[in-house]
Amino acid sequence: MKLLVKDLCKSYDGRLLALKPSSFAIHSGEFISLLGPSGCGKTTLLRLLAGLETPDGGFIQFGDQVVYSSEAAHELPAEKRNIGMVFQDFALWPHMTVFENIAFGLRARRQTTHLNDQVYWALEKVRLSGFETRYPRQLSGGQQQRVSFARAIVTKPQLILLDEPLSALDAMLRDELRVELVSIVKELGLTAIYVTHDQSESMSMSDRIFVMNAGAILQSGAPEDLYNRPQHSFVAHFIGKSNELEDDQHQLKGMVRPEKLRTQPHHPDDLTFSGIVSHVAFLGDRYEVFVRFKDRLWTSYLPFRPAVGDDITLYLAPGDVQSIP
Amino acid sequence: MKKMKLHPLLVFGQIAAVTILLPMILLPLLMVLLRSFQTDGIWRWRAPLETLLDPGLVEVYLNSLKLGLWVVAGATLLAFPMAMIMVKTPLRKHRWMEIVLLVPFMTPPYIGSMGWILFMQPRGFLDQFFPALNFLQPLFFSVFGIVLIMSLHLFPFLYLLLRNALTEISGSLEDAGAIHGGSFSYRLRRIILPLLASPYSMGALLIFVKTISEFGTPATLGRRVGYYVLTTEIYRYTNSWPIDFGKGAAIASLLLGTSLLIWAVQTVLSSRYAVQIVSGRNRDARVYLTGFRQWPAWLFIFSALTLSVGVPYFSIVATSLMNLRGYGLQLNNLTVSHYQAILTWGSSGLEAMLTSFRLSAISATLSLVIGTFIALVVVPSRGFRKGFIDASSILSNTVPSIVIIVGMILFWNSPWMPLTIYNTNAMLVLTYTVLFLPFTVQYVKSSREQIDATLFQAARVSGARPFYLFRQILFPLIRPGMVAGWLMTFIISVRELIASLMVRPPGLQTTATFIFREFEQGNASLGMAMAVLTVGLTLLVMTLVQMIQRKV
Repeated sequence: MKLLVKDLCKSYDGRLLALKPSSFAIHSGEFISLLGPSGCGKTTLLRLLAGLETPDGGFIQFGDQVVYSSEAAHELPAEKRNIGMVFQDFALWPHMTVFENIAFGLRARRQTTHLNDQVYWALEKVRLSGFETRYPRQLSGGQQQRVSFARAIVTKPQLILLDEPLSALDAMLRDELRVELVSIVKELGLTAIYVTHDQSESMSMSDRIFVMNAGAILQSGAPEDLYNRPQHSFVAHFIGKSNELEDDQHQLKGMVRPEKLRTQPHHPDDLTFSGIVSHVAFLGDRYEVFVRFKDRLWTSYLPFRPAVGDDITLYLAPGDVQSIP
Repeated sequence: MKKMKLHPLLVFGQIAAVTILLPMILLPLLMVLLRSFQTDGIWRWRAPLETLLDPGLVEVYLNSLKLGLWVVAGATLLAFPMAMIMVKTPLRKHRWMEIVLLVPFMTPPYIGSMGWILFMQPRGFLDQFFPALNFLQPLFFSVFGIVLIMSLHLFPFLYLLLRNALTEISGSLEDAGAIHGGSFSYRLRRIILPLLASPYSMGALLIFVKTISEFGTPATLGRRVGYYVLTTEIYRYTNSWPIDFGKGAAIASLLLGTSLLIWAVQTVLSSRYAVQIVSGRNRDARVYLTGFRQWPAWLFIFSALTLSVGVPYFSIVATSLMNLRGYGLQLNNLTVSHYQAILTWGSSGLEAMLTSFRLSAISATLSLVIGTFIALVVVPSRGFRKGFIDASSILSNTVPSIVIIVGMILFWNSPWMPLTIYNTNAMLVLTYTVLFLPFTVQYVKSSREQIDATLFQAARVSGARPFYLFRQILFPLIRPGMVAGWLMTFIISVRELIASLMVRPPGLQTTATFIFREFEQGNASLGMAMAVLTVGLTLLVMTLVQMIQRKV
């Protein structure tokens, strides 16, 4: 389902704009991440799309259906938008069994023909067949989140919203569920919007990422685009690590990724930087080395451990400087 | 896991706790049960049965149960909409209402009833200000009036329970219902109401027990309209001629049995049907009734507060300031002479007040020592011993006060009792202590439970010996609970009515008996002036307790 948003904005209690007027389009079947630090407005945007909050103004269209328009004074309530949503705290109803939790959307919408088949289908999708008579409290965190996911897909919505669904789980489980989640979303051909503050999560799952900060979408694009061509210093810092370069001598200003810094020159045109090693951290496959140049601290990745306090010279190809407009 | 060996000091503490609790509360309750098997000093196993089958008593019992059910219904009608409003509408921003709602709850019920009676009675404030409404008088002076007053007094209880539960289950649990297609009424039916069922049933049972145990309102309004309940009957059999303790004890046993049964039901219900709400970061619930659609909510709150706070307090304060009640509330009929009369040195009012302060301070101190000791024993104890000591120490919260008082009279007035404290001030002090011991136990227990074991471990690693540890770590951390317990016991004792009426030595007056007597003898203004002073003090101390608790 295609999604169209125009000039959508929201503020709370007349104070600061939680979401500055934003416009974008999402294609059918796309997996989109809303990425940003806490308080950046990503959850607000998701809740506006879900209909859980009323925007101050703007326009939202799902497929051919206008679900919100401030001009036409039209707002479709959440229960009529026909979407699926997975919550950070799972939001499973504690007084219902797994089966009833999943069946809720079908019963509420009176789609009760083949109810059992549909619920078992969703359970099978999330690999929880046989758990239907349990209560949420009898399940582990990962299982609870699977139920929550099954509940979101059972009505076969065209749009599924995921609000930091993995952040309450531990690291191992998170990796496992991440893969599972993407493959089901893709298999069912759903359009998905995924809110997260974890950049590696969004890079590994999404077709496109919307990087948000302070209530605005700063940049949107494929993960590679954002990494290689950040349009904004915030994006450069938030996606991967980045060093700020301000070289008056060569009239250069921009960002440098740590992995582009080398201890050997490759070309006579290479830029050189001399500094002092201030701290070294072993990462397993390499060393993260912090080098102090006059007033700033840079991060670099080296294959060996230099001694703290040693002088060090780093080389950089001028083409590897990412200029920020 | 290896079974932990009990510390000998703890065992000693457990034995001491039981030794204290036995004569204080356990034996008196046993006396109530035993005494109901006696008529005219002869043991007869059929005695309680005969008492219970007395058609007069059956009616009284049914009166109590009916009153309980009606008050539960009344409190629900007030509490449920109030909780919905305070969680799910923009009015929830107004937190001051929470404090106002505590006022009816902190008002002694007998004082609240007196306020209402003064308002509704012929030539009262209703007649003076709203003569068109005086058709309501006969309605008020019936069981309806008792239900109204008690519902207004008790509903904040249920409100708090429902509000907390609603706050917990709102947020994403309700959002998830909306997202997955549930309309408002569908969500209410499938999600909100089922999740409220357990806290609601707990609150409803609590209100039922409190209603059938209540003496103040039935004693003031119920007696006027001829509606007799268990508590007033117990009072009658044990305090007015012809005194029949056997009958009183049998009725008290009935009340005891009923309330214990309800508590048992409640325990089973809450353990079987309680659903834990699994939730992390809780979002604020959705807001309904925004903009101009708020006015019904405001109207409801305004009416509820007018009835529960406005009416009784207006008539209490107004009455206390009136020179001659027959002239109604007029500027030239205002006076502070009643306050002067109470606060004059040597007056019976001041004497009653000072007596109350003195006795209450002694009880509060006694409760502080005993309650702290018991709390410190209960927390580290385990298993049956923990449960037994804990339950016995807070038994006065569970068992209707009047039952305990009857038990204490039977126990301390026994012919074989070597200690003759009955009919002395000491008996009153002891009764207050027994009745309000749960406050100190609960406050100290909760501050003790909040202390993580690592705090003691850290102190021991740093070289603290047991006594040093107690003085430097344990005592400072439980002190706020001790202070709160002392203040609560003090303030509740000062206004306590039923124990004061039943066990005071002849001729002694406390603030509560003073108010009660002046009101009954037609000198309402003097009584109400005392009531204003008592309630004012209560509010002051409660605010203090709140501040202390918040600082922890």
